[in-house]
Amino acid sequence: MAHIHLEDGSFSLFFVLLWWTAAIILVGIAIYLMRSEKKPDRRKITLAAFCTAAAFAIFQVSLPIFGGVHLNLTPLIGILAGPAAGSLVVLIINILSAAIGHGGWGLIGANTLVNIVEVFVGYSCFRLLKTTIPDLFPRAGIATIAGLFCGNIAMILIIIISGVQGVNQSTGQILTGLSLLAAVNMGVAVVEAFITGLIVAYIGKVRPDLLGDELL
Amino acid sequence: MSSTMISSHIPDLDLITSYAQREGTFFSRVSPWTKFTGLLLVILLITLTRNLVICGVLYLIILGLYASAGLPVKKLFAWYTLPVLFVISLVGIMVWTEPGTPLFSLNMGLFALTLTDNGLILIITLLLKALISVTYSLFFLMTTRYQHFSAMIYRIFPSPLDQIFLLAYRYLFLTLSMTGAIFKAVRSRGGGIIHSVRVQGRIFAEVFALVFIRSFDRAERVHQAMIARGYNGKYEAGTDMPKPGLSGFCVIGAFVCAIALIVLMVPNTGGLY
Amino acid sequence: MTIIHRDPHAPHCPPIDKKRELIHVDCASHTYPDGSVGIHDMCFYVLRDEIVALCGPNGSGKSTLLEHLNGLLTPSKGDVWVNGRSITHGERSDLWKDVGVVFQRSDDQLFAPTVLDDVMFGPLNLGMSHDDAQAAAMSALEGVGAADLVHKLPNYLSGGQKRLVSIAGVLAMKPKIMVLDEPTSDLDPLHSERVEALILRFKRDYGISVVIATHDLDFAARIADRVCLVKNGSVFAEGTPDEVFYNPVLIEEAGLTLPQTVRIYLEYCKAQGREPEQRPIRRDELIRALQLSQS
Repeated sequence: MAHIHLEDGSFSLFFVLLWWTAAIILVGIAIYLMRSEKKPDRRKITLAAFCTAAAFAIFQVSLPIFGGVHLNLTPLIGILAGPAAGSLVVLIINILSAAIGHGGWGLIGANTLVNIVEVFVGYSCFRLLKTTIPDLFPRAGIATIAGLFCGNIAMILIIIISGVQGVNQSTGQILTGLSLLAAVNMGVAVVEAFITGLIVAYIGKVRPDLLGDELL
Repeated sequence: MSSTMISSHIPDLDLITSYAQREGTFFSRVSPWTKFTGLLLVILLITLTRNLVICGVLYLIILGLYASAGLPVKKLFAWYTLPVLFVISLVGIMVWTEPGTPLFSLNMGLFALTLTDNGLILIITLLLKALISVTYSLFFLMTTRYQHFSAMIYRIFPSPLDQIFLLAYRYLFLTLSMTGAIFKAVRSRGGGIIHSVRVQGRIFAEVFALVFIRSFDRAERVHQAMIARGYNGKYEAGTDMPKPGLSGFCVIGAFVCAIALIVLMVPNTGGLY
Repeated sequence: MTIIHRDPHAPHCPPIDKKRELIHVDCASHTYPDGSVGIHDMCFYVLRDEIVALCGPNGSGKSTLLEHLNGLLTPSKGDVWVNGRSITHGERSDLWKDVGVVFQRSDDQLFAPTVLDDVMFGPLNLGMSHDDAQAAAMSALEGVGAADLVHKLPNYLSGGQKRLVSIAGVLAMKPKIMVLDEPTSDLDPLHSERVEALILRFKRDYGISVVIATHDLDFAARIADRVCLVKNGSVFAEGTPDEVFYNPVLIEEAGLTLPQTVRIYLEYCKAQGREPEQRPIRRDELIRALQLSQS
């Protein structure tokens, strides 16, 4: 996967609550934005639900590349569901993932924050590059790389700020270790960007309406 | 291998739900709210403690609960793969430079990697914490009926989060089954053979895209069917759930007291900051 | 039997019986965003207390027409009147109260976590209290003979059980008209017979008019009061089952095959070298006709 899932017990209680609070605030804003739409499109709820189910199902597939890679497709969720619904989708995916042991319950807040960054950056890049790069494949690929790169930075910042319980190393040493991890993650991010690019190009060909006028 | 089982090291939701619906053991009759509070307390304890012995004892207790509920232990060990991988990928790098008494060194030419006693304890503790969380989560999932989970989602989350969650939970099984079926169809025609990263990537991308497209097609049909029955943006999942009984409150109370005692009396606890 | 030859210049198809007409589709057309034509100059009606079967091959426009009857789609040309109200020009947001739709794929309809939640969904949307909705749901489940499934999960039901629960979900809302899209497709013979018996009961016991879209002519022959043949988005012929099904040229034109009873009887008559004197449609009618011809 292109980013890690932190497990329970990694952070102290203070930081568990801090990241949970931050995630709840962001998700709360997303809920507010969805509720306060002048013409609420109820279809969005159904589409977001199926986006969640599809993304979670795809996460369960092991790609026979680099000995087995699982994709989260968070930037793709951003592109397809938009940043508001996408934030809710990644929260649900993190809860479902925690339920089967992929990421801790206490770390859902931190993991969701990282994912929201990926969703938001992925969506924004894809939208901003609409006129510069009209071709869907490279645009989605670049948006994915950008989203996962920013997600990685968010992850490093969260771990540096929180510290890992029981680790008595200096910030420099932790940063060195995390940079190595981030480099591996970015390698997987290239695979995810390639796959996301192909998925978006395929969707653009078969069901362009799913991307909407604002993204096409 | 079930139809939805795509990677054998990932918990199979179909299998989990079929265990949950059996209601064969004492734990299936315990209130879901009691088990949920138990989950929160387990997470609280493993967040607060850094003590290897406490983690070890807690893990054995939860593994015992899991086994006594008649749940598949062999499968559980297979399902540990990714959580273990997550812990090692994060701490596996840091563990070599942890201060403490050196146990052994690996000479890498330009530099040497030394594993200390603290480093070893650190990785074992974090691994145990992850396994405690996974084992209890799966115990909770596999002894709580699907409809009770749905009712909990409905009661805990605000709208539209609850609506998205409930619909996703309902159709997750069908989506997993569909994904499995597409992969079977691809493999049946030689699609599983590794040609090159590029060809392989393209095949997987097309399958993934198809999963999304078919999911969105189904989303539209489901939405139409809901509108046809007057959907106005809200639906209920109103299954009655058993409330925690006196024994439930006693267990929770005892657990809270135990956590308080551990935090106050046992060294290496108190991970508040 | 009426073979409908529409005058392309005639802007309307007038009502057949204004007093008894529950649905009147007046030269309606619908084109999908991708340019494909769903229905074209469609004229169709449903009277009170009748079961109408829309018969046509896949892609002939049956499902598109059904979605118009509940207001899920609106015609791009022409009009659809339901219970005296135009859905094109009038308010259609509460049309679902009058017209209940049972979709072809039950999994698309059963979205709620449990059978009870799903069947209660419609009654709750009608504004019923939780208790009343539960009572309506239970009564509907008993009505379709699926009361034992009330606490089951839709995911673990068989195809036949899912279909029964889908029907209960609509029946619980007590609609005036029930629309069923391919109600017996993918069902085993036992469940098909149950669904068939239910549809007949809806008309007899509940006074519900029923519209069925199907390409199973045997099924249509057994239960329909009137059969409409659909081709290229329009109804091109209609009549009672015996009128329509004893016209092989018409059935072939519709891209369908004759019901088995009709085929057996016609082949029997041909083998005997005599003209068909009767028009048996149901199995019991066929047996009687064969017995009669032998005596």
